[in-house]
Amino acid sequence: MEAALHPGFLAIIHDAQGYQGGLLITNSWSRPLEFRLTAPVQPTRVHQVLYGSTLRRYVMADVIGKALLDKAATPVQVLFVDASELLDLRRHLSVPVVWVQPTEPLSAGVVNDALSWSWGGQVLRASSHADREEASTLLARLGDMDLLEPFSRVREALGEARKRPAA
Amino acid sequence: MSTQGPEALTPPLAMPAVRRNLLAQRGPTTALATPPVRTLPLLSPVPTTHDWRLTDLATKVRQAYLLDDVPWVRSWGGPIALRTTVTGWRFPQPLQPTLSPAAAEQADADPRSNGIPRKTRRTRLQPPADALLLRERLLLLLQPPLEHLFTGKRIRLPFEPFKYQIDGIAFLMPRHAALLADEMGLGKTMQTIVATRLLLYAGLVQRVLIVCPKPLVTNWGRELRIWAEDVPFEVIAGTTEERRFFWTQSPCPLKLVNYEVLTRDAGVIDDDQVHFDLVILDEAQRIKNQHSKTAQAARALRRERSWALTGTPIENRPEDLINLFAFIKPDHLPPETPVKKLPELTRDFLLRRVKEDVLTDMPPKLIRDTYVELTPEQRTRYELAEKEGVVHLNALGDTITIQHVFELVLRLKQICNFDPLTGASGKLEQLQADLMEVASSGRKAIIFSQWVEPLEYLADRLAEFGALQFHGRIPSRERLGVLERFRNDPKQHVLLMSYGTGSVGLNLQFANYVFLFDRWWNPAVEDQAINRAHRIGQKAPVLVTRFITPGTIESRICEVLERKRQLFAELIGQGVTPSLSMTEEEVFGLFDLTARPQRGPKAETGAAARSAAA
Repeated sequence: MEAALHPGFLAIIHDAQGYQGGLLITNSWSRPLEFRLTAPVQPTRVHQVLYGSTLRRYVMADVIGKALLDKAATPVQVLFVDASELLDLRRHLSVPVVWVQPTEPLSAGVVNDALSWSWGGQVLRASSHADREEASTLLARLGDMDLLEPFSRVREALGEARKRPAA
Repeated sequence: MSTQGPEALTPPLAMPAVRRNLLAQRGPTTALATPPVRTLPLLSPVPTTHDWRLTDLATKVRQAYLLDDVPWVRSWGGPIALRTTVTGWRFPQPLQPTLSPAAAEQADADPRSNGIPRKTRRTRLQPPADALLLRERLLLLLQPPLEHLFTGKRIRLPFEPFKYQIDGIAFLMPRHAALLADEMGLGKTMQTIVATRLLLYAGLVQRVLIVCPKPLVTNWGRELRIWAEDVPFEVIAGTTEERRFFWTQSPCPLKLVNYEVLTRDAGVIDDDQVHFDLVILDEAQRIKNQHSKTAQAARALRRERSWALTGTPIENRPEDLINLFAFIKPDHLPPETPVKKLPELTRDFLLRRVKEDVLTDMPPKLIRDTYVELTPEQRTRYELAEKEGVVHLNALGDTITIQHVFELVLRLKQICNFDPLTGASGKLEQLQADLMEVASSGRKAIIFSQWVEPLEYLADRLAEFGALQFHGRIPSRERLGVLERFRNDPKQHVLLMSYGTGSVGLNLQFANYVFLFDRWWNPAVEDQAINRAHRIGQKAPVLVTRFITPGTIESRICEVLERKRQLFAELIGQGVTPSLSMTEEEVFGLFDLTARPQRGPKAETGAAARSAAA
């Protein structure tokens, strides 16, 4: 019997309050097992100056993404992310990190290269060929799961947490 | 879950000396993840001939932009470091129903096996207003769209639910207090079963109790096998000891019990072991009398979630709704709650849809009032009885009671059905003519009366149409067989039902004709009876014939109730209905009476009417 497959979905919103991340870990039916969210991170002018063009990637992957994964108690076998910057998280993880690209064309964001592939109407990208192979194997176990949909849940949950911060 | 990578950083050698000194003074930091050291030799050295700390930060540090990897400056820590805090929760472990290999294979092969394309519609659960904990609200928001669960191999359903049914499931699932008040025939049972099934699979409930009227236990069992084939259930019945075992020991996740057993086992319910995550009351109008033993037993059930199902949340008066909420959400609606506040206070807990709103393609329900003249024998008997009755009532003076009036009303209504001496009946003659047409077209008809005796008499007179009986004198064990014969035997064209036994919960959508041989006191009960046939699954229009004898007590009662029905229609949008039964004043007004009782005139008579009519 195969071990249970628990995909993770990490989404980050960025608005006037700063960057805020949410990590949803589900079972293979997309039912929630665990959810973690960060407090908003608001880089200052100094940070913008210091980190320059790398600031976004740094905040998203190294500050928010890593913090979320450190706190998560449920092991994931594959991590889906909603931004290319989060592919950097692979450096901190031993499982594939897959960027689920928006279906709407984003000329600046969508990458068409050897690490990208199409699955279930969505364009995915891994950070290595090995990850792509491993992720493809795992995806076969997820059936017809819509990989973009869980991100909308994460964003909605983040919005709810902002409206009702008291736990 | 731990991540890889260094947790601390030693100041890189390529860093200017002054910065290395600063970092050395601070010591290793774990505040931030760090880049591989291999990236640091790419740094272009910055001048060291001035105090770096005193320079213009924005100008000088821009040289760090030369980095094409994660910048080294994050090792500074302190005010420069970016940190965040993480909160979150693990949720209850969901269950995954096990499908047989064949079923799984079939489902896999057909991603639209429930008829719902994956991306056409997404119904999401929304937290109710009374869900205060963020954890609870997020758990609901993070549930996948219901359509995803129904698609493919996840949750197998035998038929595609209607859109409004998915909305109903999404209404029930997140709520600890809910009143599903859909009109009869829209599938309250199915919506409730699927919502319960999803809660069980989500791990949000483990112990569920469904309470329903005794005649509906079989129906619930059948619906559970259809809509939740993988959820085991048991019926609480048998001897006292057996029932105690079911209440206190049995681990079965879903139990069914009828109201009578619930009331009888009130003592067992007090046991601390009897606790449910979800209690569902079907035909919840059964508890609208808050002082009844049934209502008290229902309220005594220890539970986390309380759902009530009824097509008539307000059967007689707004207080009905308040009494329902005494179970659904105790203390939410105090007895003295003003009627005008009810819509606002119940809005988040109540969902009501009517067929006209949601089933635009359902065959129509055609209602016709057929005025049938009394036969000469009936007319003579009727006028004599009314005249003598009124004289008798007036002679009672101020000792007259509502029961005295009811006795006369009932006697006159019975004469409107049949002449007690000769058995002559204008209604029967009309009915026989109508049924000839029904039978010749191969259709089926249901005939309702408030009394058993006329039904038994009709059974003899309508034998040529294969008349079957379904009322209180038919033993419970035989009733299912009666319904099966009516459904399957093409020679059985007629089912004779009493309002009390046949007006709720039964699915008779294979019948296209409904006759109300006599009228009930309350239009809501009549509507329930009619909706046995006019419900989901009905393929043809349903013709409802209401027999009324003109110039009699029947037509006078109809006029009063019709005025009330129109008022109900005007107010239903506000969620409040007026009294649908007749007040004492209205009952006295049916006759030209000079006598009046000494006590207050506004008592509501619905219960008295029903007890008198039973």
